[in-house]
Amino acid sequence: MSNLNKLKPNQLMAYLFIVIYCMIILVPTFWLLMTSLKNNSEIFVDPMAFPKAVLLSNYMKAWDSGIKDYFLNSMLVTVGTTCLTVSIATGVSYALAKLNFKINKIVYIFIIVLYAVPPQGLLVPLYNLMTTLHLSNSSWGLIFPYTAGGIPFATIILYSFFIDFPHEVEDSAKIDGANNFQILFRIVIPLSRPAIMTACIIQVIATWNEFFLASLLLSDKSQFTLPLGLSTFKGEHMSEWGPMMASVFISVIPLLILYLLTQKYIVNGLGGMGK
Amino acid sequence: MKTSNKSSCIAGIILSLPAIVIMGTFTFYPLLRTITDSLFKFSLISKGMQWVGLNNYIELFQDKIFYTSLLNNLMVATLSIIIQLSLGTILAAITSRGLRKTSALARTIVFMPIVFSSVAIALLWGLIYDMNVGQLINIFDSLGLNAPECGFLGSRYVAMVCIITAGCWQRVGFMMIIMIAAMAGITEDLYEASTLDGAGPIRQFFSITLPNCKNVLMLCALITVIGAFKCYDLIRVLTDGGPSHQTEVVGTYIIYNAFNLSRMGYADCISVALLVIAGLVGVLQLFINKRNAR
Repeated sequence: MSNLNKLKPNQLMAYLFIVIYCMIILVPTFWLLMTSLKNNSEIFVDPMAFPKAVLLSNYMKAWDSGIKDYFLNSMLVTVGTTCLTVSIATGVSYALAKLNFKINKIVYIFIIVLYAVPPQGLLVPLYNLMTTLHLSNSSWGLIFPYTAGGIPFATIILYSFFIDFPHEVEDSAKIDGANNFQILFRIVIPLSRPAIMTACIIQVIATWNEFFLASLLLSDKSQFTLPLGLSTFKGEHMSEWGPMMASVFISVIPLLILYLLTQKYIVNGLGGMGK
Repeated sequence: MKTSNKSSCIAGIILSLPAIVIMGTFTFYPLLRTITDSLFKFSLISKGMQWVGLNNYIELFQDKIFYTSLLNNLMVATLSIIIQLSLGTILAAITSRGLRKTSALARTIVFMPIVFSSVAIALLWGLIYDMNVGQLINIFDSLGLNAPECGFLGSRYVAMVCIITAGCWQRVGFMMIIMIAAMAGITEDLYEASTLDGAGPIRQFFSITLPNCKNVLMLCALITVIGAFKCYDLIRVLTDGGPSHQTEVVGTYIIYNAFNLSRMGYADCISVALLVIAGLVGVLQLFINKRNAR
């Protein structure tokens, strides 16, 4: 308690800075929530006030006008992409980190260089490719390009983990006669849960929020993912801010919950990027 | 310690195969096609592709909108680096070195916007910037300030600043996390020694913390610049490049040419330009990093 009396001016300024910045983050989020609970006239009168009567009908309206479909599509695509990306990335990162094979360096450069390619640079051929493969306008048509885009980052995370993985464990397994695959699946993977969790979470966040490729490859409204569905809201329901903010909130809630539950993994995973 | 024998060679190849196949098909092949297709003229419905050689590129050099969009990308890159790096570093310094007790809660709050999709951010800030029901105009009115003439998203520079603000709101947390990790790696001894010499926290920040984070700062700058050239979502939803292509960025301009104007060959050409520029910027930054690291 005596600490309060000893607050130095520096510390006071630091506190102020943090509080102001946190307010900058929280206040718009608060506005989002408030607007989603009001009807149109209330929004017009005072955008920043509490709603007089909490209006859950905005949420029902949003859900029924298509958010339900978008939500399910996003879930399908996200789960599919994450499973595919992380499993492939685990295999490649393990091979790159632990196995010395001839084209090791080529594979590594291949993955890292393609990581730097912005998807905007690929859109026309990608669009034509998906049409040729009859994959446009489907969830699988999104899962494959997303996986191609997600493998590099997941590989970076898992590679830096596997490099530090103690080789004694693998050596003793080898002495017992295990081959490379048995070592990978029975020993290394169960012990790599934190890194795999981190890769999964980051992939989930990236996939759930992806907009560019979805807007390119999907034209059938029933197949839209959430970001795409949200963006059409702006055109169709131009002045219905209440339901629009409700849909935004619905789209944000799953990741928000995931974030609050798994912060530790995200922070640790990203913090290691400096290596 | 890597295993080196025949079975590990085969295992390595088997494990890498899925990655190579998928990335080869969906990233590498389209990349090659973008480059070759830019020498043609075709659209979604055209029967074949018409060879035009370097005509697309010649047209690109004279395309005013392309230069506008490129400058907008540069604007995004510059402002983003300044805002995100400085705020991220200051926040990281305060939460990891200054006020330890508040750090966990503050970090959670500051990082939160990362999980919002760009579209959600665009819609939210679109509401804030709205001239009728937006919170910003409300604040302006109550403070007696005059709003910009064409609204917050109606003229080039005001709109770009507003868009960049929304983007930074989302991303400062990311920079903060990376900087926190970087600062955690600085040994406490340095700080103790400087305290004995009478250095206060601010002096320590500039003389110890910042210099020791130089490499990570360069990395953050690189990530930010690459992100600036990839930006698309926010602009597409907030202004769609308008009004009259004033807030166009290269990403949105490519889409405009490919699908609104149906000029796919030209769109490929712009894509190649984007790839080259992004590549050059990346190489330049890596070069600067290497020089600084010595």
